[in-house]
Amino acid sequence: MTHEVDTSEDGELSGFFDAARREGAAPSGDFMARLQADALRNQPVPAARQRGSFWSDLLRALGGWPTVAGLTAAGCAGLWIGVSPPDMVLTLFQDQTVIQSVDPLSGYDYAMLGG
Amino acid sequence: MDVPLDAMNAYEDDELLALYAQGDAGAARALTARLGPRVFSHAQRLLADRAEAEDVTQEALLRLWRIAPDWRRGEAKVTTWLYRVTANLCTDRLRRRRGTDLDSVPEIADERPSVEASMQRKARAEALQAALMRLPDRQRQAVVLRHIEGLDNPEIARIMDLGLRAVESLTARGKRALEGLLLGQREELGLHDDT
Repeated sequence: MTHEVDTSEDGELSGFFDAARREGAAPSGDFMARLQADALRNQPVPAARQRGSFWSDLLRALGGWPTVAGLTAAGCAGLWIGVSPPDMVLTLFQDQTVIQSVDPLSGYDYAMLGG
Repeated sequence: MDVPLDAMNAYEDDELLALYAQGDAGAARALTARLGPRVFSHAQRLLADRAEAEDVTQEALLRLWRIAPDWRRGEAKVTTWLYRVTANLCTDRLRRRRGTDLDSVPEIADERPSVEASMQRKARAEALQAALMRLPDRQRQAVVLRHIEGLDNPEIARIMDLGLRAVESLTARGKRALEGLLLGQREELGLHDDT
């Protein structure tokens, strides 16, 4: 990063100041490497992002505890109804074992036969 | 995520410092590359001793890294703060050095292969450095900040914790003293015909 130097006030010493500006002492490469190592060694460590476990990631993906609680309740209810159906469910479906068949071409057949 | 190094050039110092405090390694590298040479060169000008300038630079930057998480953006310029810390560290060392014969002030290290064209310039820079080392510490600091680092007086006033008039007075006195020490050498340093 360089900046313009106002030389208007250098007066009779301008030749000396100009030489000093151009001959500025440069740090050695080794020294710069040491400075850089210092900078990195003393750098504050950023707060590491919390890396979650598989289960916490899954929990977050599903939508959190409320969703998981709902899913669990629905699963238990389904299992219970399947294993030990309540009377009301049995009554509801007892007489409805109707076999329905669909014959999409029947009307067409009749029409052809009837000529 | 780290900001790419190339993109760092567009950031102000305090923005980089905020990224540094958040753990951005690229900001650490960019800030070191940007500020390290500047602090080192300033310390070298105030101390005229390479090893001491390195120690001061290391300490000044360490303090910057430590303060980074608490840095309040917009309140002070990072460079102003750094120049001030650097100058204070240099002053401590100069105090400890008191009594040292000025003639034993180390010469500026000449590490690069010099070509004839740059030899005059080096000689002038060395003559100026030697003359600067004969000024009182505060005068030297003010002259270096004003005429070599190119800072304006209000910023120098903030760095040195002085009023504007005091800064103007310090730089004026410093310059007069330098003229007394250097103008007699102009001819031998080739400044009569190419300046």
